[in-house]
Amino acid sequence: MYQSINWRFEDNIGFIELNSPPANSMNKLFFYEIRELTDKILNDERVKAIIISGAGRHFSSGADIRDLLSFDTRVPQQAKDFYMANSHTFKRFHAAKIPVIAAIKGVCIGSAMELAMACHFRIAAENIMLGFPEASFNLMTGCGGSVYLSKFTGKKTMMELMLKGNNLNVSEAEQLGLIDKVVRKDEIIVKAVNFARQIYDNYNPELRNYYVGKFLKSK
Amino acid sequence: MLKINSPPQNYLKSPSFISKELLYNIADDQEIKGIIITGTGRHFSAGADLENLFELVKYPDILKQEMTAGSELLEQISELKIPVIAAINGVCWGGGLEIALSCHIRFASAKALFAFPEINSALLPGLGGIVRMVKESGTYAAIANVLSGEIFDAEKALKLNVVHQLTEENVLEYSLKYLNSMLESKPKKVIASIMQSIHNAYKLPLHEALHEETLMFCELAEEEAARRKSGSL
Repeated sequence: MYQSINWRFEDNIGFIELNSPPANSMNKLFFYEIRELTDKILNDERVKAIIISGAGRHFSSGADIRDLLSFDTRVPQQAKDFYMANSHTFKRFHAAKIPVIAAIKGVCIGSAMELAMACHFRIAAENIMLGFPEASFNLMTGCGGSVYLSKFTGKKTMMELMLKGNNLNVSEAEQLGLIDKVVRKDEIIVKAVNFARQIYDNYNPELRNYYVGKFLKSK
Repeated sequence: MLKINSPPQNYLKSPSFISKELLYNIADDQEIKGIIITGTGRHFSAGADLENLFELVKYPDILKQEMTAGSELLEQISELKIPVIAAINGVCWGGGLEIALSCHIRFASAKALFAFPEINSALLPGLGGIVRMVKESGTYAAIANVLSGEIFDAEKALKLNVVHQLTEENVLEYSLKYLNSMLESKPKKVIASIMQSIHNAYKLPLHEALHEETLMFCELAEEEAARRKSGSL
């Protein structure tokens, strides 16, 4: 069992719920646990889809910077290995052969946005706030944020998000194509599950736009 | 701030409007965190000085050399690790438009005018302008404008993503304000690392771009951790 994650497997779908109240910030423990969980579930053929969400009001406020910077500077290699492994974990979701869906409400910033962007689909509530505040801490994205974001937008918007630190509300994010569907916040999980069921058989990652158009944008 | 300075039209005497070395020096200067390219006076630039160009045709090797250098210069601009803004006023034609398109962000006054007039002299934009316009505006718009040589206004340039924003204010001041609010007090290394990760994201294969991003993050994290430890934050 995990401390920072609620993991549940039900009717072919794996539910990963970030659980470090109040805002599910990602500390070292979270990164170790999600890595271990990823190893387990991505090699399990019973898991046909994954839905990632946050417990409580928010998806996640991103990495706990104080915790992440608390490594011993005399052994930076150890820190480097840790950061590399985190980026790799997010990439494994991105490269998964099964659909990985982020169900977002509330705050989703920094590494949380990196995780959400690494997912194949994003369903969101109206109250979300997205952004990359790293630069204001003299840092930058380290788990693929720039790479996943570049699939959706040009350099100007990238610079405004990553360098200036602009936040996005739901309509701005939807306009950029970062959010595939906006729903009521009490419906996110239900909608994500319905969507997962519609696409997980014979899922083909190349058909992302087709799935979004047929099942998320219709009605 | 770089000014294309041969008023009134700011014709480009050579395909390279600034030397590569100077540009590298500017970009490496710790004090310089962003660049604005604009034109002296009322216009951005009317493009190549054709007389000069036709003079050069007599020496095909030199012409080729100069054009290649100019094209590489614009590539260098588009890959700079500090933000580059084109502040476009008045006329922005031919080589001037090619320079503008190599900038990361392009702002224009509402009265600015754009064109690729090369076709009128049976030429084509030779500094990467076609490639960049295809990327920004799509193949159709690029073909239409390069083949017709027609002048288009700022509204249309905005629609075609040739510029990102129009302003009624002085475009240079507007660009300055924008750049200042983006960069504020951020260390140069943070700016350069983020810019590099952005360039990588479009250029490198996914796994390489990811790897480079994490490496740069590690460097910043180490420095920030040290800063916090020494309490000099």
